[in-house]
Amino acid sequence: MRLQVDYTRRLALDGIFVALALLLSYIESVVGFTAILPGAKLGIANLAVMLAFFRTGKADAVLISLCRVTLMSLLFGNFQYFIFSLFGATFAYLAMLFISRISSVGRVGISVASAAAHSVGQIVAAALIYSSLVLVSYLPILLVTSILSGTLNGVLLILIERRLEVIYKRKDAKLEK
Amino acid sequence: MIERKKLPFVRRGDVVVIFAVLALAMALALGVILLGSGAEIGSRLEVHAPSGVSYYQLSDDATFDISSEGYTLRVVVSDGEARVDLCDCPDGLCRRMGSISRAGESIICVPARVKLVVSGENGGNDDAIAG
Repeated sequence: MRLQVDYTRRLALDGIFVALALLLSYIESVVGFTAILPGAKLGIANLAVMLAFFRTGKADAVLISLCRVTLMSLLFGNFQYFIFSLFGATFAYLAMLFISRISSVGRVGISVASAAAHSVGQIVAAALIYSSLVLVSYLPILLVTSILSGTLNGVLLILIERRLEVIYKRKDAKLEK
Repeated sequence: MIERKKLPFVRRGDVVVIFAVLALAMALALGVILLGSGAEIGSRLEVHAPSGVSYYQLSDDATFDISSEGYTLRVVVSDGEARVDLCDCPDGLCRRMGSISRAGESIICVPARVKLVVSGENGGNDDAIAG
């Protein structure tokens, strides 16, 4: 089900998604995974982007992702952080776009592909910045962690969408009264 | 509103995607291992920092600190191998990159913008080796 919303409502919804993405980004930067595996993240910020991707629209998801990257870089990062995030987010989005066209792949598959592409994007950014391919040797580990975080996010996404549908149904029932 | 059938959490396509990513990871790991083992033993350690490049001999045991971008890395050279022993950078990735001894191998500390590269007799090319 895709929401048929007017532009004002859509804009407000996108704003909420940006805020949600930013909050989730912050949470995952605080959760200390990087101490065990540098570069490995929960990827929950992608939840907000994926939710927007499936709920409001593909174009909305791009804008939310870009806003998240820009705001996070301005708030907590630097130019280098911006480049790394931008590459990760772009790769993640493109993977989401392509994989979601395959009908047999569900939310979990899309989420895993997106997480894996994010890792690839970050390594590509590192390779460009340092003009060295040495970090490619780290990619296999990141890809394996992407499978774990991607699966987690895919399942979370399904659960959130189910809850949302219940909420929308209740709202529709109320309006009919 | 149309009642939608609940889809299973994991579908067949999802499994295919997971295995594809796993296969990619294994292929990359294999490639890195195969390409890395063929390189000659390096003789010189190049330290690239924003302030410039300095050189050390891998045959001489040494411990030295590199300060860059507000971070300090302690590099230890022993038994022809170099590694980052201590670093106060936030991710600590450079410490986890292990020891380097073969020509072309390198350790990068992203926050400190420092790159350690081993070069051989005829000068190592890190890109060609790291695959």
